Amino acid sequence: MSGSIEVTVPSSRPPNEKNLNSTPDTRHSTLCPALWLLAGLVLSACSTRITSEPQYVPATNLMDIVKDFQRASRDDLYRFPIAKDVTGVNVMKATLVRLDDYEKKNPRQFPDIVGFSKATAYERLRDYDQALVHYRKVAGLEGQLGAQAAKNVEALEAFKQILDQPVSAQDPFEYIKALDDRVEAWNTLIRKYQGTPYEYLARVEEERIDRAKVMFVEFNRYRLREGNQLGILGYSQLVTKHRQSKNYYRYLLDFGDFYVVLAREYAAQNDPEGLSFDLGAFEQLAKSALRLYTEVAQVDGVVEKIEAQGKIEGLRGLSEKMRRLSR
Amino acid sequence: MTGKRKLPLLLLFLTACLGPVAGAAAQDAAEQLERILNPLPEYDPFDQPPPAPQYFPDDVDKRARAAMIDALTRNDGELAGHVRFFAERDAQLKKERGGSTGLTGYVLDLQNNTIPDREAYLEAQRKALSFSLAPGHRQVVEARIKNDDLTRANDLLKTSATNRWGNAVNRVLSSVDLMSVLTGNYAGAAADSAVQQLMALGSSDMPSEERRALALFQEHLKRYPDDPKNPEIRKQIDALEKKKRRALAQQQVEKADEAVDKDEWTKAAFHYESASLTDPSSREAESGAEQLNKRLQQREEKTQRALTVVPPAAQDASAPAPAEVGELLAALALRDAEQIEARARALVEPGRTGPLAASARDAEAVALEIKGKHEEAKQILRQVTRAANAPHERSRAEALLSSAEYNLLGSFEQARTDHRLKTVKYVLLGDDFLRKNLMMATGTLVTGGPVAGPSIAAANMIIIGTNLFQVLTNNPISYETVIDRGVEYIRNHPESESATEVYSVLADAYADKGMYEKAIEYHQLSGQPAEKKIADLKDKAAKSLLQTAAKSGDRSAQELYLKAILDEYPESEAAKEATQRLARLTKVENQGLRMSKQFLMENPELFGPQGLRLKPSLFDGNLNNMELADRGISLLGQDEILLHLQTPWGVRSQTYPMQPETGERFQMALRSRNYDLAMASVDTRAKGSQGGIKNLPSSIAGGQLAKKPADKGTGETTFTLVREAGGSTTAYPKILDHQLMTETERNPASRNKLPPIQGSISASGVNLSGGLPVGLWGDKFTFGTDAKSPFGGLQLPIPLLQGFIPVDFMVQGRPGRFSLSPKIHLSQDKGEDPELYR
Repeated sequence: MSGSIEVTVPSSRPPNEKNLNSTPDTRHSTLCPALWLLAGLVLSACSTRITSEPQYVPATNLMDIVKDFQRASRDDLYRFPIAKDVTGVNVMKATLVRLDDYEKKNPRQFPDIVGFSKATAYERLRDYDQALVHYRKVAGLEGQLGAQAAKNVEALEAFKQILDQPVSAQDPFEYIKALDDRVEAWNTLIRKYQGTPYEYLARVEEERIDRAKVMFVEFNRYRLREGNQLGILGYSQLVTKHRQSKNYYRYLLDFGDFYVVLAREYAAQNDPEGLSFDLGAFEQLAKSALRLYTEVAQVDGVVEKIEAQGKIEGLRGLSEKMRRLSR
Repeated sequence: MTGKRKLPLLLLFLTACLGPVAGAAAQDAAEQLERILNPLPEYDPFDQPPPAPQYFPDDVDKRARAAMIDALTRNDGELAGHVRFFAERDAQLKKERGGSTGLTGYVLDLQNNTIPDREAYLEAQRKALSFSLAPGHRQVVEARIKNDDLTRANDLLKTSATNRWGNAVNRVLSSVDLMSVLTGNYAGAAADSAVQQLMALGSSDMPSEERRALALFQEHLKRYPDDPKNPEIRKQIDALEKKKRRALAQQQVEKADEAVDKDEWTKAAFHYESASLTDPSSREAESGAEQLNKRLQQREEKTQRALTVVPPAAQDASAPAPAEVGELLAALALRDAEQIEARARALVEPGRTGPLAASARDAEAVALEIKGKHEEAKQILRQVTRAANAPHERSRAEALLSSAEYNLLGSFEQARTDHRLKTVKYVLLGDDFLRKNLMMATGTLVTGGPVAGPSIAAANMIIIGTNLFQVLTNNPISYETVIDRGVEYIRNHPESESATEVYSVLADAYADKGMYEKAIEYHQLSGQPAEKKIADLKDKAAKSLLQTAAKSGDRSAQELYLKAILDEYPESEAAKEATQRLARLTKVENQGLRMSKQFLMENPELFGPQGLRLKPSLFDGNLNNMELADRGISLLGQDEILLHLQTPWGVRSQTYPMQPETGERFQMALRSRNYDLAMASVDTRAKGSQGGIKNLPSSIAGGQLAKKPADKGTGETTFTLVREAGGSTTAYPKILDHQLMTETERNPASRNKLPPIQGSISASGVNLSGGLPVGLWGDKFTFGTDAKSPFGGLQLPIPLLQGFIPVDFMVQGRPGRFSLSPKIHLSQDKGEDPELYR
């Protein structure tokens, strides 16, 4: 947003010529620099409006697009979120739009570069079908990218194979087992592609399955024996296993939310104004949630901090309400 | 007999003679020791139970029982008859013996409780006051009248109006010295008050009294839906609701405007949206959102344009042929850093400075970025910005370097600079500099003219000094942005050269915030930790934990903090103190429910015949018949009591067995005393607030009712989980580790607490003012010196006007004369839960 402001102030009388006992005439002349300064400020204020902002300058060629793409791209999408480009847009999405525009305006120019870059962006956005389509095209073209595209096709086909495995929705235990099998399969790929971008992509997929498992337990906890304990266990394992993940603080908040749900359910099952309600039992659950929220609220530089602070305040309100009702 | 044979016999004889003497001396010493340790082994601290009361029910008792049954069974018609009976009996008793049953007021209560109409109910309560009620009961009836929702709401509205006008008048009066006005010098006062009134007009806040009144009006509607006053009340509610919505929306608009100023547009949009939802008629919210939407739309258009590619015709004719750049593009697509560098170098001919060279240099920066050499990549970009013949590449490089997303170190440095600037600005200008100076200087300048300049300058110097002190001791300018940016940088570039400095800055920032553990961690991460600094921080961290432990009322939390000191900072000074405190915590006399002697003496019911039945001699101050030490007693469980006894050899603690019924009787006595204390303050404390004994364990307050029903082995999972998480739910163990003490014992400093003193700065000097203790005639004192002379003053309510006109007078004495300033007495919100009405 910041435009360059260049203020040019004409040189005024040198300091040694300054006359402290100035006559009206000389006073008039000393006002000149002030007027110039004012004029300069006004002009410079105008110039901020008319100066084009460099971050919104469109790319002039394919080199610009690919450089911007690769500069902001990261291999490790497990630990870091997808970067934003200088305009604040997800760099993968921005690259796809730019490449489409480039293709329209420059048909048949660098099809291998365009195709390979598109495929990379698609795979980072986890659209493996589109990525495969583009890699296959590039693999069929002549040029130095073909061999790498063929390798990537092989990796993504392995990904697709795991993702396309059918999952039984009839029996919860079969469902969980299918998820466990997938986790194992992703682990195999992590080992196989260690040190390449596909290792991190496989980790992302594995993490998603782990999260899905916990969510499944959470949603079905009344159908499972000791479902609440299983939920707590699941969240504990999730935050332990994926401590390095970019989603770690999100999981801590979700874990805290789960404790809050349990606390609310306890209050719903035991009327806080009645005799069966044990404030200690309620507070035990609330404290567990508070511990998790506080951990996130103390972390600097993450957006989840704002949410955690709000949740702490919300939990304080809930606890206060229960305390008053139960006393 | 030979000599050899005589020796054993001699020894035997000596032993027979001396043995008992030596043995007796040893026995005496042991007894002495035993006496010191256990001064009175046979002592029984418990008193004998009093004889059971004999009960012969008479007509009054029978009638009281009937009245209670009728009240419980809602047989309302009979209650009037009962009241009549008790009133007649009272009259009769008074005539005969000058006494009364003492029950009429209570039976009348039972009858009054059945009145559904508010006015009639209140009238009945007022009427009840004419009966001879027990003192406690009278307070309850008075509290009922006082706590009526509608009455309170109306009172609050009146208070709010008085405060509003009082504030306005005070602003005028604050600059009026009656003596000066009498002498004709009122120009300064007029200017001062005009400025202050203008300042006050800007506030859109709604007083908490009005918000309380609104809640009470709504409560009244709920409680008395058929009250004839309701239509009028609804109108008042509507007006107050509208005002509240306006005030809340205005707050959101202010937050949004602040966010707009900081270019935080999503935050601004959120607050505008919130303002519109709170008050859909808010024009400020509407226009603010409109302007913001325009800006957002413009930005979106720019973003969309930035996502396009310049058409081929508009591209630079001298752009490199595809064949030249093809290999570089392929290397870039493959993210092959070595290849990118090689191809880029091949493209940059020696001495070439055109767009192609700049583009190739930029590609080198990308290669460095891929290698993780972010700072080196930025260095190349800086070089590109200086490339004279490549405006497009220069512009792109500038965009990158000014991007907060890309140049994280730059935004960190910017945040640091901003923090420094804000700190300097705070020192020089303080909080609301212009407002302070306007309020302070206008009157002085009007009356004194330019001559008043030095005194204003002196006042500003004092302000600056105060601000500097504030910054040095506890900087009010938040480090949050600096920390956020720094953490973001090191999270993304932990290995960069600049990370060391960032770690150090973060460590200092955390130390300033009092987060010592993080400060130590970051100092260590910086790779160049100064041993002394780390040691200092560890010491501070340990002390901080020690303070937190001392503040915590929870025993387990205290243990946790103290153990943390021993685990984390065993070398610190605080660790020694923590060890001692932990040892004290684990001692038996520090367990259980402890009650100090002072507390027991203030609440004699607890140890008397209806309580623990301890011997009164334990409290008579006579050491000869056993005396309780100041530490008092500790109930260790249902059947054990620990007495701390004062003996000539110091305090000795002795455990005694206790009958289970004694424990139960004590709990009842404690609850009864708690109830009595709560009732005693029912008319002085806020409605709904908790009275009674402070820190009374909730398990005792709740009695056996708090006990959960026995586990029936239900298969319900949540219940199982809670049971396991909460552990045992029996009531008694929860009273362990509590202390009941008097307020003075709990907070020894409160005994010598000084009234709050504030310092204020006027245009001409320093004023000190403070509240006076209750009981004195004056409310407030001031003293100090100003441009004219030293002064001392007292704010006094005028006895004749008190309760009639809420005006106080500030009398100030100066050498040679007195001045008199009137002041409207304002009420402060002392209601319960102030945060619910903010």
